[in-house]
Amino acid sequence: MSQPLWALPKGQRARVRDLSEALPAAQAQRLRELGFLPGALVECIHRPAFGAPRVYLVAGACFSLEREMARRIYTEPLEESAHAS
Amino acid sequence: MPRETLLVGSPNSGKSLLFNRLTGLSQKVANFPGITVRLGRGELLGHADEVLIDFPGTYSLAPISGEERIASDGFQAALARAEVQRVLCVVDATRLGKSLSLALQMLREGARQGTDVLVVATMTDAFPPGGGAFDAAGLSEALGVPVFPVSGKTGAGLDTLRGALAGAAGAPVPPRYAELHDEALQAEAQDLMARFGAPGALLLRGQTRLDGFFLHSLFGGLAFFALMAVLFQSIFTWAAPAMDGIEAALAWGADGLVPLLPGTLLKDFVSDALFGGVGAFLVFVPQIFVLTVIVGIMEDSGYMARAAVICHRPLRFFGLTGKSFVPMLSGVACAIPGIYAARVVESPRKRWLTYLAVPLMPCSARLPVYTLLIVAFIPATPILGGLLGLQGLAMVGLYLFGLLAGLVVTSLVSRVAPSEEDDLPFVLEMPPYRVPAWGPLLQMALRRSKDFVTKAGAVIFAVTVVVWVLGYFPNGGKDLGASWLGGLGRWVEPLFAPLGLDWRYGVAILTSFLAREVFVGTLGAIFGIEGAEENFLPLADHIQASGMALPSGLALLVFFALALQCVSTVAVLARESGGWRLPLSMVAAYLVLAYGAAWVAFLFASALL
Repeated sequence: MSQPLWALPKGQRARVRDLSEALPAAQAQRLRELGFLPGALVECIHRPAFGAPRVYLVAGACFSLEREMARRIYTEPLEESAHAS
Repeated sequence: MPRETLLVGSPNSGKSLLFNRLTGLSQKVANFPGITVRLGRGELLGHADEVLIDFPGTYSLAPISGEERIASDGFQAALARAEVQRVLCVVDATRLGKSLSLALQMLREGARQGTDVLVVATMTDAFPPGGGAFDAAGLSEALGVPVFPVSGKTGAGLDTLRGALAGAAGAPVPPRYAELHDEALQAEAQDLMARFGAPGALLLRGQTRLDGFFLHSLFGGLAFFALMAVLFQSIFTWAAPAMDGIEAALAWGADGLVPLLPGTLLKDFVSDALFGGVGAFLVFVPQIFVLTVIVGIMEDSGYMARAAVICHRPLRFFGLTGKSFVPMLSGVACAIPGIYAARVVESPRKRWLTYLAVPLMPCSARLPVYTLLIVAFIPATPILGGLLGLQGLAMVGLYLFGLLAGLVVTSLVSRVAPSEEDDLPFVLEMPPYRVPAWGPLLQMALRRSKDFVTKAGAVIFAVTVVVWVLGYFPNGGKDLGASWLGGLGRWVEPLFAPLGLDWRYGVAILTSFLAREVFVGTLGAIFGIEGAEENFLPLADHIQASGMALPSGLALLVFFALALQCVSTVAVLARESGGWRLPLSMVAAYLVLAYGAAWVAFLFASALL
């Protein structure tokens, strides 16, 4: 079961599953180069209100992504997050 | 022939700071993705035959924007030069993930072109002392090229790197990279990241806490407005002592020097044209310095990227993007860097809309005109218990007016002229917060102030001399109205009469189409000729004595807020937008808009006051 990155709650981590086919090839490649690769861990760091771009941590760097981008990155929730303290 | 080394790296990797450290050259260090759009060039400290070329920060050689295509094409072109023997690729040791793709692409280019590649790992000071240090030797072995760990902050490792750059070119890149495909490259980057990346996220805790504040929906917005208020107030308060000092020095110089000069003609020329015209504009240099420093602090500290995030949603409403904030704020200093900075906006349409907004931003060339008219018409009444003055408030109002005008224009144009182009979504790296590098920052502010004095000063001097000659002859400055300038003025007077402005202001407005601040110099020369017998007087006093009414003053302010009166901006726009169509239409449209709005302001103010 996969969900878009945009839906990830603040402070939660997930693993990137794949990128949407709807993303133009150049943009998808850039996302991969920034670290949004299948299997990579992402964490939602900030979720400001009013639909403002949200901040995600991937490969040690923080990127701010707006909705159009973040909902085209599919993630799967981490098993471990269920019993992480 | 000097040997050249290309310096490349991803944005926010500490590349510009490294360049400054290696060359000692004052190049701007900006903590915002892609701000270094022009190439820097500098000699390696102590080795004049080793030249470093600083490339704009880029995440990849596969471009997704115009800016990146320029960088990518420029890189290929530079690599083909015979002088270029090495690529120095900067990777951020704390955030290897975003740096390694580019590094591997560089190795691939190096292997294909037969160019040596050296890797520099920056920010190694962020690793905790003792356990878990950055494994430069391991990364070097895995990559097959030398890796130099350095810290731009502490200077650790820089001597070793400088020595290596001055010495032999280094080993060639392993040939296997030449055949590396994109997917294999990604996989290798991921593998290297897992092996050599920082354990956990360094630097992150402080950054997250600060971001929790600066990106907060409420506090972040309040902080944004508070910072903007400080920016505008400081232009007045911090620059005021220096401005008073320059004014006093000019008055003292004029009073002391002019009587010593032989001949009435020379006396009049020095007093009217030099001290009256050029001097009136020199007074504003401190404000430009202060403004440049403050905007630079916002860039270097990393706040600019947060401001872009905060502004994204609101700016989107006006047809722009959060990234338009940087060019627009730079435009508050000067439209020219603002237009260059618009390259960070990847979407061609949003960039075009940003071009429309930037020349309406209240640039520092408007500052002399605003200050002059505010001082002439607005009393210095303190309000809010002395926290802000009425004059400062008027200035804030003018700045907001320019900003609002820009936003109204872009939102109208973006709605009237819809486009079918696909827009690039907003992705922006949040760089770590850091203390600005004060040396390069102050050097840059000094350089820009000097540029302002030398470049604008040359134009102002030339215009002032022409205006003075036209106004002084044929009757030796006895009757300005009967001079050549007076004749020209009366010819253009009908144009400005609806705004309640006499011919002297008409002439000053005409000359200000070269550059806005010429307005001040021209008026200075005109009033200098008129008040020839008096001592040097501040220009605002002359304006008060000239009988111009407040509605006309307001009309002038509105006109200057909207009109595109700057030859340099037009030229840069033509170069950046790839043609004269956009800048020339903008000059015409904004002229009509400015004149119309000034007229409306004059009518309203006349009716109300």
